[in-house]
Amino acid sequence: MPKLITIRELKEGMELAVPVRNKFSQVLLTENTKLEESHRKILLLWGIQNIYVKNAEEEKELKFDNADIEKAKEQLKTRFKWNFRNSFEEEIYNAALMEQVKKVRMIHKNEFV
Amino acid sequence: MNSFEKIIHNIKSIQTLPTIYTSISEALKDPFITPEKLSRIISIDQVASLKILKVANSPFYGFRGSIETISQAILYLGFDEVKNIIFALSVVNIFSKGGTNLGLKPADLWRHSIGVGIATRLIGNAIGEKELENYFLAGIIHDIGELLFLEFIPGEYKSVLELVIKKNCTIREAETEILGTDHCKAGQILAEKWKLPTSLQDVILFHHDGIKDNQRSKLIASVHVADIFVLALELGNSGDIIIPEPNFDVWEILQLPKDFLTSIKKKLIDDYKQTVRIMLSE
Repeated sequence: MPKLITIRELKEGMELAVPVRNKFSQVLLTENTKLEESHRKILLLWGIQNIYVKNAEEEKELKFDNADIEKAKEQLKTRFKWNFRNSFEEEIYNAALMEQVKKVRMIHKNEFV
Repeated sequence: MNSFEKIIHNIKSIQTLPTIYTSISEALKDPFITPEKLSRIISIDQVASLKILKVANSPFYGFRGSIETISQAILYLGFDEVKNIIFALSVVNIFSKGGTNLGLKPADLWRHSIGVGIATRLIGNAIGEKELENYFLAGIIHDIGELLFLEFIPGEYKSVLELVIKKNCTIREAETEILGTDHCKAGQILAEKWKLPTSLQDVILFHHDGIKDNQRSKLIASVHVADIFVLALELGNSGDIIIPEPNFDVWEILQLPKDFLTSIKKKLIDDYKQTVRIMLSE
């Protein structure tokens, strides 16, 4: 999953996940370019503020059990009354589902305290 | 006097924007204005200057900690972005005094709006928008109409919030049923009084529609998507419970890169936490 970072957060060895383009959509740096310290200065000179890099340490996925997810899906039906039609809308649904799962887990946790 | 007339009456009497903002707007009319001259005008208000510097150093601008003076802020961010920061801080200040209404308070709405401002700017950046300076501000002020309602017609707005829960409908639907108008229209009237650019007035009026008539405004589409995504992430509280279906046309207008929303999620939440601390602190 690509990760959006500011040029300030650029570290040597990071790899570009998405090509860097200028205002006219010309490619300045291609995908998979291994970044070096010198790129920082160049990117700033080009007026680029953010870049997408490959996410080396994939965000640790929280482990939820299926029962929690099913419960969250059921609860979410009252807030999310439409069906997603493309991957962006699926991303919105998944973000909402993740928040709902956290609430379900919180309730569980409190029940056992 | 009905609710809408009451709102119009209150908009007429609402305080004008602070001197610092009007002085800067006036100064910017001079095509030969220098950063030094502008920074002198801003620095007269020391409290505002300090806050401007904090916001200018917010992570979403990408200059974390390296902007030390107002002149540098103008140099790095540009005249218009600094003017917009001043405007955003002024508006937050004007609408922060209302009480809690059925669990919704102005600070909750500001949190939501800050989230939308940051997400809108991230979208603008991703789609290669050249004039990014209005993106953060557009997100910040998109729900200004709700703040008007909370402050000036709290009794009627309590009924709106109750109806949202009772009917499980959107806040806009409840506003239309109870007040005969909605926060988009009320906000736009205020924006007009404040002489905000038409592009920002359109954002306030059309952010729930995603498009204005048949025009393809990237700014409106960006705020539309940001608003829904921030609602899904539950950053702040806009009073809405239902996550509205996006206008499908916005995806074509924006042409976002694949997995875009997931890729900005962590940055959005991190930047949101820091910016809320900066903008909502006394």
